[in-house]
Amino acid sequence: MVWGAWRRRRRSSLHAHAGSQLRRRQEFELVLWGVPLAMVAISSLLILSIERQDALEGWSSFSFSLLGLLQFINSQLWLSQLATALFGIVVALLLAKFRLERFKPLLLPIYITTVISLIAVKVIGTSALGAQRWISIGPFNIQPSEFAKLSAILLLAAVLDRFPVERPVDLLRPLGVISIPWALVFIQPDLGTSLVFGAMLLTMLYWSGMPFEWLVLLLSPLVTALVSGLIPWALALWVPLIVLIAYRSLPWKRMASAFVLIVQATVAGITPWLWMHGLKDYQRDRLVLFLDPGKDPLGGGYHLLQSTVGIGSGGLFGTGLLQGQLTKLRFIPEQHTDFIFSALGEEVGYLGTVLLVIGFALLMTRLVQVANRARTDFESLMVIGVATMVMFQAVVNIFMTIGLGPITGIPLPFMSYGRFAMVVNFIALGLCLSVARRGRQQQLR
Amino acid sequence: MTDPEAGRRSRRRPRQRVIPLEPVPAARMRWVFTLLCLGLIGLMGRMAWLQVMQSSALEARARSVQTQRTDPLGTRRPIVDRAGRLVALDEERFRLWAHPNNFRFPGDDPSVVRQPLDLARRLSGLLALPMADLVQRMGDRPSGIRLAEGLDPETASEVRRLGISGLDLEAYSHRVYPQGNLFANVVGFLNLEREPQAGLEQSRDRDLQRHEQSRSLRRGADGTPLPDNLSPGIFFGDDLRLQLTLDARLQELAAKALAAQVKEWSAKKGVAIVMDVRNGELLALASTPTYDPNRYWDFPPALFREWSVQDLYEPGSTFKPINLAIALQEKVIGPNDTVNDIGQLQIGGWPIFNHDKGANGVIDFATVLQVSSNVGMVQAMRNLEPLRYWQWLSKLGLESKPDTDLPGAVAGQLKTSQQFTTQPIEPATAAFGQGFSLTPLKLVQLHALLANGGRMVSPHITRGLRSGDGLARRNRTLGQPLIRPEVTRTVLAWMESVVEKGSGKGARTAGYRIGGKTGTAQKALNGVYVPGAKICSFVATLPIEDPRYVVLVVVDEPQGGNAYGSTVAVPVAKQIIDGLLVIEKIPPSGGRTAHQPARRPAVALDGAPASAG
Repeated sequence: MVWGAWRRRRRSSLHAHAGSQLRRRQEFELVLWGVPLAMVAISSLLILSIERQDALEGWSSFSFSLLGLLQFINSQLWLSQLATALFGIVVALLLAKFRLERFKPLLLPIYITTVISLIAVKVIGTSALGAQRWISIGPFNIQPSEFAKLSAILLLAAVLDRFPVERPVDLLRPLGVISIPWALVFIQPDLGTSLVFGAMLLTMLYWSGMPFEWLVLLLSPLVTALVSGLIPWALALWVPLIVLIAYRSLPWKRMASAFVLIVQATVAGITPWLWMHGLKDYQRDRLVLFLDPGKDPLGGGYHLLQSTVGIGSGGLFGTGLLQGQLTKLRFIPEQHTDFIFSALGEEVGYLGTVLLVIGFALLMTRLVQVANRARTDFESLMVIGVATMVMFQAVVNIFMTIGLGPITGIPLPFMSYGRFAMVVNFIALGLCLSVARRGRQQQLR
Repeated sequence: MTDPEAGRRSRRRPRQRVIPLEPVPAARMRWVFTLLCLGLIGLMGRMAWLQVMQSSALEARARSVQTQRTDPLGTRRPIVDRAGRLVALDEERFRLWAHPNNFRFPGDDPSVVRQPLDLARRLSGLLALPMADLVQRMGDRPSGIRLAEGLDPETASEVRRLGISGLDLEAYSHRVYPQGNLFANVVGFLNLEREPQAGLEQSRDRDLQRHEQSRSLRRGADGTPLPDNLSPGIFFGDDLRLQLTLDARLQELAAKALAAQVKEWSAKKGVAIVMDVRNGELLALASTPTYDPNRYWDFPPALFREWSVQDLYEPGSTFKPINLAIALQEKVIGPNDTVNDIGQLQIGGWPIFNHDKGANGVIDFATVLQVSSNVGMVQAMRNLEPLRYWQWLSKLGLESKPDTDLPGAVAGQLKTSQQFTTQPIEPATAAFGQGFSLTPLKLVQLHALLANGGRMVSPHITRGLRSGDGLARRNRTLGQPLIRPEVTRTVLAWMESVVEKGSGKGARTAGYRIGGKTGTAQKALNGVYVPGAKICSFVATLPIEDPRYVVLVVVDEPQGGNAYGSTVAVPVAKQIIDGLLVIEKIPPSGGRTAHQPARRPAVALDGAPASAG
C-alpha cells in the first residue's frame, strides 16, 4: 500500500493534469493486489488457529536476537506464511517493473533448468506420502513442480506467440513443450499438478486462436476414458459425435476421422487396463474415494469426512476467526496446507467462503481483462496461462475439500501454507502486473 | 492423441503482431471466462448445500466426533489393610462379543463378509482358545455371540489392534481378592452379578460404591479435554479406598497357626483375634475354616459368616479376670485378700468343682487365676450381691449388640435379672464364666477394657475411606470408663502371674511382660452340657507395663482328653504374640526379665506400671 501511494505521488507529479483520476485508480491494481493480499492475511489467521498449540509453545521459547527472531518466525507457521508473502510481494513489485519481453531470451534456459530440477527431484528429492516432491537445500524446500507450472506457461506462451496454431501439426510444438514437465511431474507422482498442466495447455491453445472443435477433440480422449469406465453404452453416442466433429473441423476429412476413431477406440479399450495396472493403489483410491468417503472412514476418507464436517459445521456465518472447534483441535489433517479451505469454511461460514470464491472470480475477471488488453500475444497468453493455473487449482482444491472431487494434493493459491508455492504465485502475479502496466500505458498513449 | 495432419483455417496471423488492432473475439473471452467460472458456480451451490442446508446435521456430527461419553461401570472402591496392602480391588475385564454378519478385516472390501473360521484363526492364539471351540461357539448365529469373557486389558487391546470389524469389546469390572481366603471372613465377596453377599462388602456396600456419573467430555483430536460445557465435578476422580485396621501379615500368621492347630486337634473351628486396646482396632481377625472369595461357589454358604462375631459361646475361665475386676471395683474383695478353696461347693443344690476336682487351700486371687479355681471364684463373687453382679454384667454390655462395624455382630445372652437374683446357682456359675454366653469378639472387648484402664472401646476393623495412597490416621477414641484403672492394674498383675507360673506358661516370652488367662469351657446344647465338647481358649494382654494388645484364641471342640486352653489355644497365641511383637515393633519390657515381677504378684496393685524405668 505504501508502494501504491508512492506510485501515485510519482505519477501525479509526472502527469499532473486533470482527469487523471480514473487513470490513477486503475494505476493501482486494486484487484490484482487486494485479492491475493486479503487471502494471505486471512490464511495466516487460519493457520494461527490451526497451529494454536504450537503457537503458544513458540512464544515461550522466543529469544531476542536476529537469529532468535528468524527461528521464531520459522517455527510459527502463520508468521512464516506472512514472511513468505512479504518476500513474494517484493519479488512481484520488482517483476512488475520489467517488461515481460525482456525475459524472452531467458525462457528456454529457465525451462531447461526446471526440467533438470524435476529430474533431480526424482533422484535426490525428499519423499512425502509416497511421492517425491521436494529438494531440500539448506532451510529451503524447493518444489520444482510448482515452478515448472510457471516456466511451462512462459515457454508455451512464447511458442504459441511465435508459432500460432493454425494447422493441426502446429499442435506438436506446444504439446512437446508441455509434455516433458508434465511427464516428469506425473511420475513423481503428482497427479494434481499434472492435471494443472493439461488445463493450462488447453486454455492457452484456445486463447491463441485454436478452433473450439479442436479443443473438444483434444479433450475427447479423457471423456472417452471416463465414459468407457463408467457408462460404456454411452460410447455409442459419444464416439460418433467426436468423429463428426473431426470430420467437420479437420482437413483430410476421411483420414482424420478414421484416425480420431482409432484413437477413441484405443482409449476406450485400454482405459480399464490402465485403471487396474497403470495406477498405484493409493492413487486409484484417492480418485474414487470422494464418491464414497464412508468406504474408508479412518483412512483417506477421514480427510474428506472431517473436511466436509468442518465446513458444514461453520453454517451461514461461521464460528468466527480463531474460534473454529474442529480447526483448533486439529481434527482435519493437513489443514494448513491442502485443506485450509475447510478451516475457512468452519471459521467464517458460508458468507466467508462465498466471499473467497467471489475474490477468485474477481481476480479471474481482472486477469482476463489484462490478457485482453495485453500488447502482445505472448503477454496475453502468459496472463491467461497464469489465470488458468490459479483458477484451476482453486477450483480443484475447493472441490476436493468439499467432497466434490478427488483428493489430488493441489494447494489453494495464496491460501495454503507452502513457502515455495506462495513465492511462485507471487512471481506469476508480478508478471501479470507487468503486463497490466504495459497494457495500461499503451491505452494511455 | 488427436493429431490432425493439416490446418483447415487459412487465417494466418503475422508473427509478432501486436494484438489490440484485432483483439481476441469477445465471445472467446467470455467462453474462457465462463468455462473457468463454471466450476465456481457448482462450488457455491455445494457450499450452500453444506453450510446452509446441512449445517446443523454436520455440526452435530462434528460434536459427536469430539464428544466422548462414558457410562458408569459400577466400579467399587478398593479395600486395603492397615498398611495399604490391597485386600479387594476392581479389575477391568472385557467381554468379547462377535457379530459374524459383520466380520471384516481391515482393508477388506466392504461388501465381503469373512467366515467365522478366518476370524477364529486370528483370534485363537490371542484368546488361548482352540479354533474349533471358537467356530463352534459362533455357530451360524448372525450376531450377539459371547465369544470370551474375563479378558485382561492387554489381551483386549491386542484384540482391538487387530481392527476386525464385527468384534465388540465390552468392559466390565471384576472384583478380585488378592489375599485369597485371608480376609474372606470379614471382607466377604461379591457374587457374579456384583451383588455383595457377605462381610464388609455387604455391610458397607454404600461406602464401597464409587460415585460414578455418566459424563460427556469433549476432546481435541489429540485427546486434550476441552474446557467447555463441563458440568461441575466432571473431573472428580474417586480414588477413595476403604482402609481396614487389620494387618495382612499378622492376619496371615494367625490364620496359619490357627489352621494348623485346628487340624492337629481335629477341632471344628477356631478364631484368633488381636485388638489394639487403646482404640478398639482389630489387627487380626483370623478364622478357620474359611473360604476363597475368588471362588466362593466352591464353598458351603455356612462359611460365609464370621462365627466369632455372630456365634455365642460360654467363655469359661477366660471370663474370671473380668469377674475379679467387678468384685474389686465393688470393693467386695481386696487386692491382697485370700479365699479358701475347699475343692467343692454346694450351691442351690448343685455341686461345683474345680476342673481337676482338687482343692487348693487358702490362696490369693493371683493363684485363683493361676490354677483357674472355680471354687475360689465362686467364693470371691459370693460377696457381691447378685443383683449388683447382674447389673454389672449388663453394664458391660453382655446383653447388647456391641458397637462395631463387623457385619452381623450379635448380642450375648444373659439370664434375666430375676433368674439371676433368685437362683443362687446363676451368679455362682457366672463366677467362672458359665451360664451365659457371648461372642469371642465381646470377650476381647472386655479384656481390652481390663488392659486399657477400664474403658469400653468399640472393636472395629475399618479405619475409613482414604484417598489415593494415603493411610487413615489412628483413631483415638477414649471409650467410656467403667472400671477404675487401679483395679485393672491389679487384675493385670494377677493375669501376668498366670503366664509366669500358671496355666498360661506356654505364652511366656523372654523380655516381655505378658498377662493371660486360659479357658476350657463346656459346651452346652439346649441347656445341657455336651460331654466331651469343649471350647478351649486363651486370652493374653501385653505388654503388662503399658498394655496395648489383647490376643484371643478360641478353638471349638478340639478332640482328645488332653485338650485344654493351655494345650490347644496357648501355642497359637504364642505364635501370634511372637509375630505381633515383631510386626508392631514392641520394645522389650525395660531392664527387667519377665520372671522377676512374678515374684510380687499382688504388690503391683498400685505400682503396676513399675516398668516406667
